[in-house]
Amino acid sequence: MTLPSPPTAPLLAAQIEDLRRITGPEGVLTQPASLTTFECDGLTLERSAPQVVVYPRSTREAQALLSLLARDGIPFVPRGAGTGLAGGTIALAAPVVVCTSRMKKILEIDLDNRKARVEAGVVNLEATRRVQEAGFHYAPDPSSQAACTIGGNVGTNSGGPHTLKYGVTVDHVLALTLVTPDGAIHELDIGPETGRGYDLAGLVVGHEGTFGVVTEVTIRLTRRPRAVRTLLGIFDSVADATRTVSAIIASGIVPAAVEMMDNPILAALNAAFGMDFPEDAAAVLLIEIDGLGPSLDRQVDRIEGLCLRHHAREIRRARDEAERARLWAARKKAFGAIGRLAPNYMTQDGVVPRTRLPEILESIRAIAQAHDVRVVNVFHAGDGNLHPCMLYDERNADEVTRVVSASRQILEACLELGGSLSGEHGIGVEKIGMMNRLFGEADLDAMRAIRAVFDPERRSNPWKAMPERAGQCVEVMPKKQAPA
Amino acid sequence: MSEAAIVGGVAIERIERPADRAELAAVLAGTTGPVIPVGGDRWNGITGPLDFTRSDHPVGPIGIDLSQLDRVIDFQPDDLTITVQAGLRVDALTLLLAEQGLCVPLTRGRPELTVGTVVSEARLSAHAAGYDGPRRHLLGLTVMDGLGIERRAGGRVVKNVAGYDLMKLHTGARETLGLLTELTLKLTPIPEVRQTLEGRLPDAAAIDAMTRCLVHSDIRPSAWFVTVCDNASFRLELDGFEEDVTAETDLAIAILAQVGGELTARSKVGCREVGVGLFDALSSPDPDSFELMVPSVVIGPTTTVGGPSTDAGNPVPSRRRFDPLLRRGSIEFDLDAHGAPDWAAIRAWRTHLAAVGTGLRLRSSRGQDDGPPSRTLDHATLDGPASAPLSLMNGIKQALDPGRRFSPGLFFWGL
Repeated sequence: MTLPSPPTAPLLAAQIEDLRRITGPEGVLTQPASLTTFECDGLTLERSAPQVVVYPRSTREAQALLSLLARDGIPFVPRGAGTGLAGGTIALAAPVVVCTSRMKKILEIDLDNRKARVEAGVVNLEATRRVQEAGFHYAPDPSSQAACTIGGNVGTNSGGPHTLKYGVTVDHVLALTLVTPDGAIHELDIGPETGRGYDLAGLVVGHEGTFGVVTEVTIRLTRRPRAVRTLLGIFDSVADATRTVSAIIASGIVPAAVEMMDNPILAALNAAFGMDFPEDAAAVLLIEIDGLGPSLDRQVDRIEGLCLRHHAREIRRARDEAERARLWAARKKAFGAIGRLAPNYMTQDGVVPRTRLPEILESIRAIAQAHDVRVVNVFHAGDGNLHPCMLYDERNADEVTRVVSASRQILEACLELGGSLSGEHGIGVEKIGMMNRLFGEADLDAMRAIRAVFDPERRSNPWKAMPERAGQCVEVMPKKQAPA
Repeated sequence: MSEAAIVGGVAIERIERPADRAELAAVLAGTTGPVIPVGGDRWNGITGPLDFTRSDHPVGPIGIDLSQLDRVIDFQPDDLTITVQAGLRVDALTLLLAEQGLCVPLTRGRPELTVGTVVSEARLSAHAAGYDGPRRHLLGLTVMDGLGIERRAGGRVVKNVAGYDLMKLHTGARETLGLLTELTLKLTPIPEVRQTLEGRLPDAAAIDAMTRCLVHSDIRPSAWFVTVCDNASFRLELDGFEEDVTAETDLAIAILAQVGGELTARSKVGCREVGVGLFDALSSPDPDSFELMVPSVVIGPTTTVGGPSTDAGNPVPSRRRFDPLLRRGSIEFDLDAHGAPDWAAIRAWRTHLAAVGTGLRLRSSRGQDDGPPSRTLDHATLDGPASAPLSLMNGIKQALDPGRRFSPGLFFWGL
């Protein structure tokens, strides 16, 4: 069941003028043409434009803005670069978007202590660029890392291909500054490990904007590996490819990344990026190991042996850094290549235990067939984190309906295999209606109670991430493209 | 089974050892008084006397010992996950996992140490520099509240962002927000070999230089700690594949020579030979050891506080141990003639520490500081949260433990 967007009162001209006084005129957008950019994020299936977008330039400005919104009881949506994929930044029941993308300063780099303090709008890849010459990097590497912001990464606890070895965002956040919806500034850190109480920084990572606006983040810097080996395993069977993933992990090797791409995307990647993936292969595995160097060849030999034992028809080694970069560019831009296959796509983010990959991929195939929906799989196989991309044309209402239904059934299948709704994209507005399939009401009550500590009025990103009240099991959609 | 006991200087009315979760729920629902988790090698007495002044409970506290909740619920070696009850002992878990060539890098303490205790207290192993602490390895959990209702968070998959990350909230919360009953952990393969290097460093500057070189090198120590007594000795441990560890060892020896250090011993063993001691405790469970929080890997100034150059009359700790990469340390003082710590001397020493920006947590199994005022200073001034996070923490405490029954005052002063 789908409900229409909850009503919100529009801001008055005087209230907008108050916002301008804080940020300056260039820090407030109200023109409908400008606001179109903000009507959705990477989930284009749902859209709803805000009335106003404000750009704080500092924690103090964010505090002033949120205090003003608190004074008038106005709901708001925190937003970074808008690269999310779960509709977490759609302006649903909130007329104001607080966008931190202009907070781009790197405030401090402390290489001795392997950390840096950055503003929330710093782009993920920029953090790495600033320290890579010194031999460090910021490890979380979502596919959107050239555009997404650290603040946005904190919001959804972003991952990426290399989280298999290096962990997700929460493993690389040491402290952060949170402005709660009442306008209070909180300096939070990882608590017990620093002797400072509860791990509130860890709790805030993944809050999807429901605790307030994160304005600054202290990130952990990681040494760049000295040596890397990248392999491409080519398989005639999806099941063989997925079984290889489990075999590699079970062998005692922890790869930096194990990514899988299935047949339908390979031709698109060849056309888009000049790759030479075999277009008749059922699937390819992009496998990367890294480290100091001396053991890598032995690990590569072992991985190749496992691939062959699982009937890989061919194994290619990246000969140099340029070839490795090309392989990764193809993987990270794979979603872009999908544009060659259909006007629109919707990607899911379910997770299953790694050993259940053969079953879930078969389920996805069957669900797609039953719904007459084309699906492309490009995903983090090493983590069991799926990204089935369902192709559609938004002008075809019937196709949209089938895509939404197939999407839900895929997530149901993940849950039945002991998995979860999201590995890295978050719940957003997209999956909120399924939260009570994953958690019981007592579990959700505890989470709602915690949210209420930060945001008792539920004004920060309302109707996202967490069902607003017990028993809410319906989806609330902005309706622009939602099927009837 | 139940009996009266003294925990943290407080009389516990009785200790309950429920046989299963249903019995635990019945115990919790059947009483309205404060609840103190006990057993499992918990540091109940270490942070000082329990504080019941903030809860107006008409009945005395009960202790809950979960040592009988020690089952393995679900073990998936190929998925590198295991779900266990919180009362399972770390040593037993380690042996079980080792049969599959796996481990979970949790610290080892006394034999009765349980997985629940490690998570509850966020105990770090001496190898947390290489493997991180329990927060990194906890994928999901089940917590029981004061009404006996279980609440779940996370899951049994290695990557999961659905719902708030209550695993982080409960790790190190000392069960002030509810009792941990089940935990799902991420496993890791046991490394092939461990190389141990031991030696001496000439002075504080050399300690800092060596640490900086390690931070900026390709070496990934699994453990790096320095012990300062009359002189500074070090221990560096390197885990991994044989060839990598050999290369790292060569690099480390070169760095050591560069900073004027001396290598006195080296040994390499297969990690499976190390057995349950693979992830030993950060510091020995010495009753007179106090925990230090060091703000930076640059620990030179801290190592010299109380050292030979300190003015006469200041207390001199008998031994200080630092884990610069974890920004932690511990200090030990000699006991007085009556076998008790000299609290006045320790407080004076703390003042010196504060001058170099180092915090001191009075965490000792003696558990008897001279009362609340100094604990307030320790936790709220030197190490404790600023007022704003404290308000959030109190809000969370109220939200999850509205009766304020779980370990009142145990976590830190002000909560």
